[in-house]
Amino acid sequence: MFSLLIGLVLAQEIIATPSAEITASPSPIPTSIPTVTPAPTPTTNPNIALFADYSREYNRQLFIYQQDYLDYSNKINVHTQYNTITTLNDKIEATKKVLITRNHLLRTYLTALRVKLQINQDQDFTTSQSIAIEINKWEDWLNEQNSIAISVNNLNDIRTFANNFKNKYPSIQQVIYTGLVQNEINLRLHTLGLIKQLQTDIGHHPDIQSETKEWLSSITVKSDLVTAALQDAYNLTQKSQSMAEFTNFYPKSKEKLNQANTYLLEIYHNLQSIITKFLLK
Amino acid sequence: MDQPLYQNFEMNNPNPLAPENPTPAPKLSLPKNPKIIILLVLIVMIIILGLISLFTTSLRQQSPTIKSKPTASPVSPIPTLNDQNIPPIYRDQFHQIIEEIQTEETFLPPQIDTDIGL
Repeated sequence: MFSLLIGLVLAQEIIATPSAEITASPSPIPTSIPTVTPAPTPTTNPNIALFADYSREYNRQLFIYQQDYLDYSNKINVHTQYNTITTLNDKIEATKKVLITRNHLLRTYLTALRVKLQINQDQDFTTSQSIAIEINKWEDWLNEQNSIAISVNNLNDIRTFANNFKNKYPSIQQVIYTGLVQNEINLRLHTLGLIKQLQTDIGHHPDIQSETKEWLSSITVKSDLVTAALQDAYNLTQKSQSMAEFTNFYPKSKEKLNQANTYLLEIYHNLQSIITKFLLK
Repeated sequence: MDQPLYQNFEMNNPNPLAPENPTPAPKLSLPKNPKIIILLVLIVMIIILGLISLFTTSLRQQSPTIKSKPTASPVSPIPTLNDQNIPPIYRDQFHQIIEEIQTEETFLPPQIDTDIGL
């Protein structure tokens, strides 16, 4: 009995030895040159370059806004300290300026986002277009507000103007985050399309065997999970919002988007394994 | 003047110079119950096995036999494509897919002060 137990302990030691000691078999070398036609080279999307331009403009506006905001803060402090007509006028001018700059900043951001949304809009054209129209509507509204801001000359007018913006801002945020989520949905759908294309291409390989085809068809189950996660991400953007305050759904949507991305990565690795295991035998 | 001699008669050995009777050591008696004997044997075996396990563990730690590859660069969390395992006609497609999967879409809106002018 004692020797049996000793034997068990020694056996456990051998099993516990890491598999790093096991020498890996050399990587397989393809035996035959496949005759499948290669995938066509992807054409460059013009919206990518356009987005880069609008993105630069947005960054420029962000810098201007930060400068104007600093000036506005200084003028407020000076007026609080001295409280003269001159400091009041300076404060009004600085406030007017930063309000206009803030609108410019938001407008350039919205334009860049709208262009970004168009990069992969063909994945879900209807939804992407309706969001783009909404974004465009707010771009126009901000332009209109800036034309009104020029005629604002006293504190009461400024307060009315600022209040108007504050009331509308939750709706702008809703559109922004919906656009961000839809943009990422489009990208992940595009990736899924590429994976499906690759799956089809591998399926048409001349050396393909029936066993491999079964493995390839199992990928469809996981691609359904990707679609479901993306649908969940979109559904979160459609929850009703209160008029006064924006409830940010983006973090939860992002979780779903990340989940979809994880499934895509798993499919990618599965395809890699299939090609290594079956096609290169 | 001579001191009087006293003798304690209540003691077992009234003479303090005489050696005391050595008390017999208690005898270690083994339990006669066979169940207890088996239990004791098992405990001893567990202790021995534990010692063997400790000994082998320390031996393994002192002289590692695992031939690990030198880790020149830290392991990247991003999966890399082993081109040798992919037929050339599919490499571009695999590359494009992994690039898109690794693309992080972050174009968050600017942080603005909504209380300006209020």
